[in-house]
Amino acid sequence: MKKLTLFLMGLALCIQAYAIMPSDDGDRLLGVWEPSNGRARVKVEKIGSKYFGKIVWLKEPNDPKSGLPKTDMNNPDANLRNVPLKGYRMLKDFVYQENSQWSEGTIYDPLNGSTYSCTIKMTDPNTLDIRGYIGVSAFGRTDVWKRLAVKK
Amino acid sequence: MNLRKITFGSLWGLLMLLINGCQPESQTHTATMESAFEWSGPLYEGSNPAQALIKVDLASLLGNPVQEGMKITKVQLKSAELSGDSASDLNGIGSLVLSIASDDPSLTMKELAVLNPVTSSSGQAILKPSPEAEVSDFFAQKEFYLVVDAGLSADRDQNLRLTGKFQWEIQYR
Amino acid sequence: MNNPFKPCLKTILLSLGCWAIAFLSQAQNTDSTKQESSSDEDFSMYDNVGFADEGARRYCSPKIEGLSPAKLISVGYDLQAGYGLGAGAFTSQDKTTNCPQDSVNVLNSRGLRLGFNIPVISRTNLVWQMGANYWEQRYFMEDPDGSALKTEHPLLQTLSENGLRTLGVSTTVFKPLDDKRFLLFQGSADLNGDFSPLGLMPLKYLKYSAALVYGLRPNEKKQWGLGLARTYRVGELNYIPVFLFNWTDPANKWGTEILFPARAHVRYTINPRNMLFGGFELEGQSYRLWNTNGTPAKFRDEDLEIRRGEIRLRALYEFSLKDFVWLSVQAGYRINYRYEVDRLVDGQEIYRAFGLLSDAPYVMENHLGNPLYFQISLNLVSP
Repeated sequence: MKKLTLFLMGLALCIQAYAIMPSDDGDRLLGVWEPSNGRARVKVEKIGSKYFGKIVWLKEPNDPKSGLPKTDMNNPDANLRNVPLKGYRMLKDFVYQENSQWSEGTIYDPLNGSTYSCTIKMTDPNTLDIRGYIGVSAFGRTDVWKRLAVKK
Repeated sequence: MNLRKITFGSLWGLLMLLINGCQPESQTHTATMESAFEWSGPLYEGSNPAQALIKVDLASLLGNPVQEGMKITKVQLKSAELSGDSASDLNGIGSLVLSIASDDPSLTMKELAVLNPVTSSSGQAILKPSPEAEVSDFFAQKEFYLVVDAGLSADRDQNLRLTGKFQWEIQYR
Repeated sequence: MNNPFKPCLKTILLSLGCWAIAFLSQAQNTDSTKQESSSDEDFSMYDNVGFADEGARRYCSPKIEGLSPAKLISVGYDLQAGYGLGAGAFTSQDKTTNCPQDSVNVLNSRGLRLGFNIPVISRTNLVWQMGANYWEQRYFMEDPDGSALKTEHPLLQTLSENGLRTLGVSTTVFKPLDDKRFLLFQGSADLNGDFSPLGLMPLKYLKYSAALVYGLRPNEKKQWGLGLARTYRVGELNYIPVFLFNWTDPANKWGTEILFPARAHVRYTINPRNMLFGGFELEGQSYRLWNTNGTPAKFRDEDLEIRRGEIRLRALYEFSLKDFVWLSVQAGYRINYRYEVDRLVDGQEIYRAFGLLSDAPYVMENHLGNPLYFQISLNLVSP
């Protein structure tokens, strides 16, 4: 009986350990996040081995002048100004390093059409430090993003 | 002094001409590629991505045997068409965006073509490519991803399957 | 003989069994085309979501939508067209030297303007920046009859020979209190005088300025606040109220960038990379007359400072040359507000408070014409 109890406990621990461990540490970035200004919500997905974040919700989804859904009207490439903002990948090409950091990516600001080099650091499971910078990290700004969950 | 400058300038110009002249001439080829994109339902209102992994096979792309030292110098998307199995497949799709991505950390994802709004009733959507998007670096890899973002105007229970037909203008030497 | 390893073998087999079961129970997924949203959560509308971390708070941003980009590095050049400069009569402290008034034509005055502003801490609940700046103004003069300068007036001699310089450090702290209210603090320490580029004055002549504003940011396009400032912008030390008002219209075309009375501009956005401004800026400082180069002996001992204040009415065009490199071009009219020379009393500056606390006369009352001016700068702007 004692042996059976030990066996079952061991089994439970092993299953639990595998259940909570992500198949890839980088996948902890997956989910829906909100930038500090609360004006958008971004869903992080994986394409291949890289991570991308697309806008899935906008506080003001429509252009005030036309009433139509906003598009990427500040894109430096005039041919791409018709891409809907909702669905636009503003975080691109992040590669998981280690120590809860993702780098080699870019962040796009649809307000002015600028793309910045970017690194992401997960300070806790529900908080990201997203640092956009120009050239070197010193010339940049960190924004704190919080993970979102469906309200119960 | 002026004469010396003129002489050196002329020699330099001649050298550049010789170097460029010795390069093999650049050739252009239009390659057609087909790929399937599948979305598994239920799908939700908003942007839904589907991707296809494209293996780069230069011989079949160029229609010629690949010679040693052959190098792709420029690739642009000339046309992009997405069509469903039936005319109603595009119903409920408000926008289509085609992008290219790679696992290579040095290559950043690029948007290639967009159609917004999608008004086709024939089941065929012809996207407008961006002439500024140059993707030869992706074709230098062994493989890359094509990603289609379908912007749905309402939730959709059924699966969706679109076939993409893409024409690439490839310059090589 | 009992096998000592038999109990160990059982344990090992049991463990291996656990691992195998756990391994098989893990859903393996190597399909790179999988959409990553959890099938248990319907994010279809993304409206009914809240912070996963219940203690999380939102804080207001220091920026509003449509504001001109902040400059990290700025390299500029300022040029003022010709004007007349009349230096007032001057008597030395010991009354032994009397210098009559004198006038010159300033053909132009110009100089380099360098600025540097780097974020030290840049988080949602605190933004702290440190900056440094170097401004110079050199005066190119001639006698009123057009001949080469021959003045004996010490003020004109030092302006012509040495010019004026400012070397300063600054700090800005933006502290959001919640998603709508914030505190903004700006402070600076400046060394101003006729010192040479390589010959600084003692640090005891530093001039300190500061401003503290309490503000509200009711939405993405408006930000306003009230505060108090210790400033030299009107040419001498004063404590004045300040009013902050940054606003952008719903169409993102028109806006204001106001920190009154220091500056106020109306902004027209052609597009996010091209902006036009019209308005004014108050510039000013107190400059120590320190340099002994080209001036009479003992002039430094007179403990003199120029109280300089000017209003620049201007039109400004800022645009992106490429990505984050912007060019700023401005042209306008400089109105001289004050260019008097004061003598410190026991090493302390006289605090007049616009004449309310003291109406002590200046030791030198000077008059400057008002020229057109032009300024251009190359800037690296912040994300």
